[in-house]
Amino acid sequence: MLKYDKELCTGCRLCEVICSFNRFQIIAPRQSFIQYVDNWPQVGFIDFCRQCKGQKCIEACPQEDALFVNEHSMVELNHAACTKCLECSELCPFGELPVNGGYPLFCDTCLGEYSCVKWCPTRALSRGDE
Amino acid sequence: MGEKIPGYGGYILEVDLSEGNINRQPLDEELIKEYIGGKGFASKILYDELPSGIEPLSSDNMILFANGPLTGTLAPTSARSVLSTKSPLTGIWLDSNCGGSFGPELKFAGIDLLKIKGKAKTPKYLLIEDSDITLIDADDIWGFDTFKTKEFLHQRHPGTKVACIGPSGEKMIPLACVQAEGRSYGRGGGGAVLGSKNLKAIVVKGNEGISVYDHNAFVNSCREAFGELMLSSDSNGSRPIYGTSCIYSFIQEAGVLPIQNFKGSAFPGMERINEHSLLENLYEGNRACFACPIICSKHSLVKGGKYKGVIGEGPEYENVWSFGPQCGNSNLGSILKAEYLCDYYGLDAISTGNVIGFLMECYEKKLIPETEIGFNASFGNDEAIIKLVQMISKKEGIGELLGKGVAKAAKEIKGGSEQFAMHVKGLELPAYDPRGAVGMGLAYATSDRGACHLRAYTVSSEILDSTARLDPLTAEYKAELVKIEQDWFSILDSIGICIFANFGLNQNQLTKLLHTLTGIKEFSSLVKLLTIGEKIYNLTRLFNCREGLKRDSDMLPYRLIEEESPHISARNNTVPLDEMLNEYYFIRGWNKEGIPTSEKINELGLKCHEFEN
Repeated sequence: MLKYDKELCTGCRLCEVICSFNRFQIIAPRQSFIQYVDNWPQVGFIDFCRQCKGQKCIEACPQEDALFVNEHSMVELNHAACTKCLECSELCPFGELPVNGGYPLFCDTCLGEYSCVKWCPTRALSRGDE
Repeated sequence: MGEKIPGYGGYILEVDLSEGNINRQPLDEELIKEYIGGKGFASKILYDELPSGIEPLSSDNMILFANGPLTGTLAPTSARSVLSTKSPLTGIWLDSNCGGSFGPELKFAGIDLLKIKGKAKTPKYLLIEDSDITLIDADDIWGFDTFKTKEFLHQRHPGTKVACIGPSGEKMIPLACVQAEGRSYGRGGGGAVLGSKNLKAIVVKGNEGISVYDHNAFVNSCREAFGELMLSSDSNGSRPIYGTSCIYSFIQEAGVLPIQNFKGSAFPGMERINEHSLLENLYEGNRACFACPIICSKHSLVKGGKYKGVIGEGPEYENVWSFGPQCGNSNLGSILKAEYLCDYYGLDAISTGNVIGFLMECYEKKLIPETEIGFNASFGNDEAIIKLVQMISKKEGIGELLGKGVAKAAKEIKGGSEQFAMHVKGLELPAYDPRGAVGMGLAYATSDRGACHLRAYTVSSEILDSTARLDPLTAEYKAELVKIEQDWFSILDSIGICIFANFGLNQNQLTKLLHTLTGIKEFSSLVKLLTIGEKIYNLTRLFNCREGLKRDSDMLPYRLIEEESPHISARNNTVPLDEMLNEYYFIRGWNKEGIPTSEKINELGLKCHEFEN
């Protein structure tokens, strides 16, 4: 899973850029699965799904089949069943989940490629234990 | 929606505030090929659409926000965007560059160029959410400082980025800036132009994407550029540690740090505000602009003394100077406080500090009695500096005069004060004394917006470069250097890259970033780009010539030409401006009056009929 050290983060948002670029072949930070929230003049923090073992999001989801654990043992969203209630985000113990078009976004570590880790200039993002 | 041109948001957004009309149109491909983006776009639009002689604070003026193709991409330092208008401070061309995150957000909303015309009857702000664009009443936030404005609008429109003016812009003070997410379109009075149009803020959220011409090649060029920046002794040396003040001691030792309005050589406690002291006593942490690995920006906290608890982004080198040495002030806390107040009210912190230093010299020379100021305004009086910033921001007392800029203040104060009013064409000088680096004298004199260190930065070659240094005290090679840098920096300001990337990357690397992103063949080589850069710089020159400027405007303050430098390392030097200017005009292909010849105009493919013989 993806690890984040807020102390090292400078708020440059390269993680957002590379995330959207890798996923959609366009640069669109708002569609990225990792999103920076500013706290001027200090550096803010980034929101992303840690793929934690607790999976409170699944517990919180009022829909039966909107959130499920996929073949890579990661939480994934079934868009068709999601009602955009964002209960999952509210119960996330790490903060909020990034959202695009009302849907919560669950980082899949680019299936182990960790592109944001590769581009983070200060190593604020790193690869944690699987 | 058709296929977007790679690297571009794809749209020009035109807002006519008088009519309330909003028009979003696809970007013209010819404009791209000819002028790239950013400053290039602005030069073409303002030259074609702003007739000469219009009053900058009238509804006839226009204000532009323009992005470059690299803005908001994976390219390192791609945070930059440009504000451009006819300046109310100088009455001539203005482009003002800003980092942070506002420009990129405009780009994600699909906008490469935002044109604002006319004047709203009542205060408004512009809300842009991709193609949903509305003008909203701003009566309830008119009068808010820039921080409160930003916070209020963020809450009302979550996830947006905000550029706004503060009370100084509303009052149309010619030193007013536009604040954008903690950073500024600082110089030349863009804030006053927005104020004159009754436009309080621009609020943007963009969900669209930027496409890339050659995914793999662009990623590789970016990777290369990041690697190169990490190897550079500039971008990964002292700059990330000390911020923009990393040059402070070098500049001081070279005799290029202006002290007490460019007349002094030292002042009490000056070591207390150098880069080491900033790092030890003020900086709290790093803060990056969009996509920037250099991280020159710091956030600071005053930890003790009478300014304890003051916070802010910065202070930048320029403002450490403008509220420090320029005012003979070594109280670090007051420097951050003054910069904070400039951000709060929305004032250009370079010009504001410059004009306060000027007043302090007038006070010292008894050209203004204490009764007229209301307090002791001696050099080094930190409390006077803070009071004066507040008075300028609110047009109070002597502040009203100072807010018009140093040129107009000197005209009114008289008594020979024009000789030490440190400006060119009405724009206040920044933090380099050209008597110790004479190339900067030519750079200031021929800068298209008035005294500016970012049109050519000869200090690099004259003072800072350790391997290939030019003699800083003579005219030799300076004309050519200034010309080349002006053309190239016009490209930097058009593609959306920070000048600090230029210190770590070579020109071919930047060309490669641009070309792999856009695939446009006109951008495929450095030679082609330099020609476009020269065209842009000539066009801004022609804009100014059309306003009546010529050689006698390409002047420096009397002090720099006639009074010897007070610094030992500058060895009694003055600026040999005439000598450099003659050579510069010759190299530029401009006539003896500094006006581009018709041969040059034709060579560059400019269509400027007013100037054809």
